[in-house]
Amino acid sequence: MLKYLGTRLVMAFVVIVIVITFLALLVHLIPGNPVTTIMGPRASPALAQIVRHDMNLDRPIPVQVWDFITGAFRGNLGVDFVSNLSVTSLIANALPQTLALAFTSLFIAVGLGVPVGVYAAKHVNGAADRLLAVVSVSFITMPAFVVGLLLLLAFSVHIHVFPAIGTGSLSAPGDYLRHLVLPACALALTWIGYIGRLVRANMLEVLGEPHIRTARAHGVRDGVVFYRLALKNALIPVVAVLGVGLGSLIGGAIFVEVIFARPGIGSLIYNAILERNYPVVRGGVLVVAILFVFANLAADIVYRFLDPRVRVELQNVKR
Amino acid sequence: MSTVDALPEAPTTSASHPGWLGEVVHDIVHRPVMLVGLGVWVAFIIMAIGGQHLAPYAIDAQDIAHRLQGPSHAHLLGTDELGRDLLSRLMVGTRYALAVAIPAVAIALVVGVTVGMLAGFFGGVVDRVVVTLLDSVQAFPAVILALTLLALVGHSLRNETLVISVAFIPSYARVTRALVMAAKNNQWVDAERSLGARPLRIVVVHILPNIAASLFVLMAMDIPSAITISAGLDFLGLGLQPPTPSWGGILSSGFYYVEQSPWPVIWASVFLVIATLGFTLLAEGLRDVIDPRLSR
Amino acid sequence: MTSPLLRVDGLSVVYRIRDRVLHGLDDITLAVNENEILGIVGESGCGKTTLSMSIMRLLPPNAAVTAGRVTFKDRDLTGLSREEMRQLRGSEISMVFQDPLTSLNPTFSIGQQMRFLQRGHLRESRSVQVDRAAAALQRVGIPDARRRLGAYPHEFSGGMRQRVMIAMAVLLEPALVIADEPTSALDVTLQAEILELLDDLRRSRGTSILFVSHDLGVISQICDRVVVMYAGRVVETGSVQSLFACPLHPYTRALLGAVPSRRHRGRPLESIPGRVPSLSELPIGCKFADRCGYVDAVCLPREPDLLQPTTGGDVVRCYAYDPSVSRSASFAELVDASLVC
Repeated sequence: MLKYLGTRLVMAFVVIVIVITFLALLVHLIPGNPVTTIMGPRASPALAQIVRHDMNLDRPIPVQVWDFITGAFRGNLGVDFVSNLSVTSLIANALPQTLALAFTSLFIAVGLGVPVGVYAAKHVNGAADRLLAVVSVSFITMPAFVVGLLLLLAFSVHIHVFPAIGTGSLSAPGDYLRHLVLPACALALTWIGYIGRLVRANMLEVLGEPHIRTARAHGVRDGVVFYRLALKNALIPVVAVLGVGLGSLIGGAIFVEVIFARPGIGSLIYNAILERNYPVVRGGVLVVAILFVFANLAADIVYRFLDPRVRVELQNVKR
Repeated sequence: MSTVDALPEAPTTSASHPGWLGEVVHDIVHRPVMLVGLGVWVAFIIMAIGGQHLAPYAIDAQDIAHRLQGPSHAHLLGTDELGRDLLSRLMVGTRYALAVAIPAVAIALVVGVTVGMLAGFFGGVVDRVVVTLLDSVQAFPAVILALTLLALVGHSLRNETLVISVAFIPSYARVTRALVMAAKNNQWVDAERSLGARPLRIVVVHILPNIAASLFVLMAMDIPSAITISAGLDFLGLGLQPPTPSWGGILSSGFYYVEQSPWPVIWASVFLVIATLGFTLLAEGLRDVIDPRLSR
Repeated sequence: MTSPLLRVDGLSVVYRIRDRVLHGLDDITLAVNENEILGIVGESGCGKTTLSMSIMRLLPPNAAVTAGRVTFKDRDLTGLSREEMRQLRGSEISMVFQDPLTSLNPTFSIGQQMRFLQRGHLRESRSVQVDRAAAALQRVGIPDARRRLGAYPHEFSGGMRQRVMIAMAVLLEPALVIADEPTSALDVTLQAEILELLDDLRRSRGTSILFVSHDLGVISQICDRVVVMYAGRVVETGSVQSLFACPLHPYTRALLGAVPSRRHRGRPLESIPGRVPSLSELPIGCKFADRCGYVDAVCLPREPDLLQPTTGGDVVRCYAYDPSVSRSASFAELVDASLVC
């Protein structure tokens, strides 16, 4: 187990280094003048000169890459073109908002998805199950931004139940939560459908396994067999999905943050793209990628740890 | 382990036995959900090909006096902020949705399968390098990757297609790689080798047909994803630009004016959702039919 | 004579798969007495597991009992409510399964699984139930029992896991244990240990065992009486001594690799030619006819009934022993061979 952990960490590290290198090289990989790539075709010469200087474009490419990599490891991701603030500080301000959004979405997705999946498994092939199957597929296929738009339309524009813009202030937690509802639901919807189907499929599979038959042969009550013996087995793989989910929620948050005018790393990157504020784009994308890699890694490790077969191996090693 | 004795084996559809195509068609016809998906596909392809010719109004025909109106006799779905007919624009938008999604997935397929075959067949260092590169591409959420690349290369239909295909390449590469590695261990490959067949021949003639079915299903499931991503990019203004009637673009301008009229947002959403839902239903049905073992 | 612990009378079970009907069991009649080990032997697919599941009423939803009855301690099991049946399972009748690795829940410790079992039947304090569980583990020969309660199934070796399964099965001291291929997944030495354990259960606690297996060798070691099944039917029943010394039914004889028949003279005797018929396409007459070395024209149109050719209580389903049927040469050969022993 420890060996596995070590290997995965090394792989993750290698991938991150490649990602950083790729981002450092990116402007050079695209055909044309790097300055034009960053600034667009209508950059004035004076501005071009500033950009060239700030981004070290005068120096040889390997040096640029090396500087960026070492800078990244020290937490220096460059400086924003527009406001001259450090990119790192901008990201540090924006990231917590996105994380709050992502975790809330995940919470909603699990809170609704798991019961739905369990219910469908309990009433397999009944009317409710079939209906939920169609609904789940619909949820899965609806893109988050469409859901966000429709929710905004319904609950903000049409009926003024929830606010449309911003995050509200943390000093008024109720207000903050009100601002979170629509965006979090928009992001969560896909995952509700996905988790629901996954839980249903896992439950059905587990219920067909021999140990459930043994439990029934032991005279264990149906309710206990279903909600304790089977469910625990069925939920373990769901944890792996959650890790992946968190990563992709952070990525998908960009749409929701734009639609609901929320600050966050998504809108940070988006606005930076519009302003051609390349250092911010590069830094923001790097942070998102790193989070994504670690979310996947964490999910994989937690999942393996939850499986008692693996956990015991680890304990045996310690002994 | 089954608790039941001597159950007959369920008939399986294997792509390598004769007559399987007939079975597939039979299975499709008997699943109403798949027929719905097929119907959606057919309808959208007709709209995409027909384009402007099928649409009631010219997509750029403005009518400012009647802007942002809801459904009416004149305009079945209403009008947008410049008085243009929504139905027409959305119908032609199908063309852009499919023109990005289908080639994007096709390119991803070709590149991904090639890369996967190289990795799976040669193994060793080549494999490690390829896998690490694939991991690196997949380190980015698809949308973010597409966004960033698109911002740098500039918006155009071609660029949007290429950028989206990059995001899909890893999944084809991995599937192909896994299947090639499994097939490599098969005895008949060894038999062929011992007869002196060149590796390329083994791969193309023997391995490809067996994985074709799985790849086909993967493609069918990726097309709705590609449509969604491209709509998202267009929505953010980083893909196809107005006045191109892309679904994402219509959603975007509809969003801007949402307080005045909900209809552009509603109808564009409807088109997008029907497309993704219909295509996904067909894809899932195909998956159940072509490989029952996968349908879990 | 006291009534048997378990009686199965004319039990028939069908499975419905899409639009087809499979006959899993047909007219099964047998009895298990107290303090007795009854063996059920037959090839895979003959209905042994269906029989076990029918007795426990754990058949899948697409299965249905179409005829017959199962009586346990003079109670008609087929007439009990679901809850009443549940109460019997694990406490009066319990089961041991073939593969202990997949038959035990991987995400709960064995102590927890034993608690679930007990809590299904008894309301007691935790410590009482833990004590009982530890004692059971000790009785089946697992060292350091109390500590091992916290262990997970995969932490045990194969033989130990099967002991755990047996411990669970006898935890509440049932009168009958159904053991479905309990040693089939184990190697020979472990097999012997488990058999001895089961035999010991019978001797020390008077537990009856319904021992299901495809392995004649194992059956001969532990069982008192044997029921031979083929294609969902009972074809022969008898005590282990008489059946092994002197098999009556051609199938039993073939299984035991017994004396060759006139028709098969000169051929090697390894396996029974042909295959078990598919349950959806059973022939009309005797189900063994197409593989039988003694088959005759009378065997084909109608299935023979269970007959009792001698006074010993053994029964056999074969026209060769039917006094009302004319004796053909092959029948004569069969009967003569069986009379010899």
